[in-house]
Amino acid sequence: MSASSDHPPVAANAVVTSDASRVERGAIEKAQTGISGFDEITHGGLPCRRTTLVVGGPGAGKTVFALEALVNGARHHHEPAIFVAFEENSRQIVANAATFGWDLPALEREQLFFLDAQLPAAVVRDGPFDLVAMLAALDAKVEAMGARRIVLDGLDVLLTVLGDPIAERREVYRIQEWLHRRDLTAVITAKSDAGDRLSSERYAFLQFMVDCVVVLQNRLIDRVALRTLRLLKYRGSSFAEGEFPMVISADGIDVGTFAAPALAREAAHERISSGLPRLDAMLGGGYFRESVTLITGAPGTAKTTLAGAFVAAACARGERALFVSFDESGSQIARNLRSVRIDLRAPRAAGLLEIYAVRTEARGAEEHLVHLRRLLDTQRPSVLVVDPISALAKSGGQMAATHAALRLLDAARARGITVLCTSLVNGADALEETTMMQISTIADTWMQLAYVVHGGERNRTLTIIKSRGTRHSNQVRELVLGDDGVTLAEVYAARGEVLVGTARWEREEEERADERRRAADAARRRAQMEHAEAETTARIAALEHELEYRRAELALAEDEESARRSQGSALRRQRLERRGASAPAQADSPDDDGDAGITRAPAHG
Amino acid sequence: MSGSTELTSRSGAAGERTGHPLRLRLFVAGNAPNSAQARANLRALVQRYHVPEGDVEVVDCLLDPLRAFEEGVLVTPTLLKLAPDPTEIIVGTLASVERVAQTLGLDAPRSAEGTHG
Repeated sequence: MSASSDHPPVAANAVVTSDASRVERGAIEKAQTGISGFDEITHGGLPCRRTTLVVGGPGAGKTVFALEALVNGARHHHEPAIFVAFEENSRQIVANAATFGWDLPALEREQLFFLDAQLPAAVVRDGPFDLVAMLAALDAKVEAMGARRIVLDGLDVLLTVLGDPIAERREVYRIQEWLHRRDLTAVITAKSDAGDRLSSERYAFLQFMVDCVVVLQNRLIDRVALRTLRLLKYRGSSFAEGEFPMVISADGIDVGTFAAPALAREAAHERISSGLPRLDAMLGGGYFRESVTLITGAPGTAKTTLAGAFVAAACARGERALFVSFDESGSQIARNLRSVRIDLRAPRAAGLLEIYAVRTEARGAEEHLVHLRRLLDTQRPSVLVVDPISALAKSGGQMAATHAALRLLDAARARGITVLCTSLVNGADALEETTMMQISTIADTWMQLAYVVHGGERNRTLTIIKSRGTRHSNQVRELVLGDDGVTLAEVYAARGEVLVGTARWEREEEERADERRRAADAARRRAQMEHAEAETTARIAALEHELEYRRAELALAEDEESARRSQGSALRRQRLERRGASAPAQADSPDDDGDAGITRAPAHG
Repeated sequence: MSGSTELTSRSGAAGERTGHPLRLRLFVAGNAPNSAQARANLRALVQRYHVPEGDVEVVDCLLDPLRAFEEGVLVTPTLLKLAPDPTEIIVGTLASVERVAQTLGLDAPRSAEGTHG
């Protein structure tokens, strides 16, 4: 066997410093695939200059995976590549991949070469044959293009053609040797028989030979198709073990993994309204921006109402909102909320509010997540409602739902969106159920709505279970839905029971009556006081009058007295004058004659 | 079924073609074992069935690598019967010469060697 290439072998762990696609230095180098999530779980991508085997059943996504790895190598890292198609025709593959928007035709001009290597059906076999010429041709092509990556898609088909296990093994070794000699980062895809194993012995040796094995599966769980990706082995590197949910979205493959947490973000301090002023008061102003609020409750407890109030308040501020509903349609929600004076039609018409209603049963949780993430990017809301987020568990299992839900919240936070999600709780123990979803742990505010039955009535209550960064009352409030809107009312705790509804009203009435009584008492006392005051004032006035009168009397008497005296002296003088002027003035003797002299006094003329 | 009724058989030396000429192209990979065998077997076949030399072309893929791609040849050795129609593809070392001849539509040789079916 001769090769036209005389490329010298390169040491296994040589560090190539010039290429941007290499991620790790010193340890095994990796070639980034650009496949969302895959580079994260492999801590860098595919092993560089090594061979990766991708196995999976029909339709598991092997070809898409391999192609995307090539395309991204070409687009982002300027690594030309060759795609050798053994099973499916390359034109078909290119046509199918048109939906992803990778612009393959443009890449095909320079960076990407497709080789159709499907052996024609009508081939007569006569004696053993090999792949020497094919490898020679590929070699020439690699040389001409400067290709760094290569895909051998559907190698199992080629091996079947070879006919016998010995020949298969020999040819696979030949391929592997050539790949190694050419320092190509290679992806080989092969169909697996059952489940996730290359159970047949024929291909088991492949797994042992390559450096990395990726297993793709497409399972039906609860009648929903769920794709998964798993790293079976990765020589020379740590990797995330376990199965990851996977989706083939409109841009390509999306492997479900948590984004690197944006812990560097500053916690926001601004508060935004919940839509209910009294609730805002209880929460110290409202929900924190970029926080997650969880509202749990049994069916019918008005979770959607609170969600609607939140959204209406946001739109009233001119902000954009996205309302994701897994239960009801947009018009149903709008109609129901209108009856409690929450208007969603106006913001919807203004383009501020987008209601996205979808049934969860139609798709797997992972698919929903991809859809929702795209909506976040196209709608760019500043608030997001998911009602109820627990509905994700309806499609394909609790674990997938939890995973998807947490990643959705993650994605929202990364975009600075304030989230409110509702969650249906059926059992009596809300805490237990919600913890299963784990959202309650990452939620910043958690409120529970419940029913209280008392005195033949059901009324709704709201309790704040937790609210990070806020001093909140843990008192229960009554949530009142009326024609004039939604509000919170105080409840009364009497003898350990919470009174709501009519009982509360009765108690309130009692209190009002008490209040009236007390007010009446006070008024009466005041009146009495005033009366006494008036009386006293009047009395004082009367006494003063008397005093005045007496004074006047006294004055009069004194006047009279002095008048009498002056009159008396005048009379005496007159008497003396009449008696004769010679008579010396006698001391006036004060006798009573003055009065008797009146009869003798001459008449005044 | 020995012998094909639709093809023209050769009779004797070159120059006496009575119908559509046969055109064969053998793709080999240098001196790789299978390829070497195929070359030998084809030589034997050509001799036995008196195929004119000019009708047979041998392409060494190691010297002309991209040729294989152009012609859609993946494995070596591959023998293409390009003419007359229909095109036939035979892969392998061409070990059983008779079967190969049959596929190519060559009559049993009318030589002194006797009749072989």
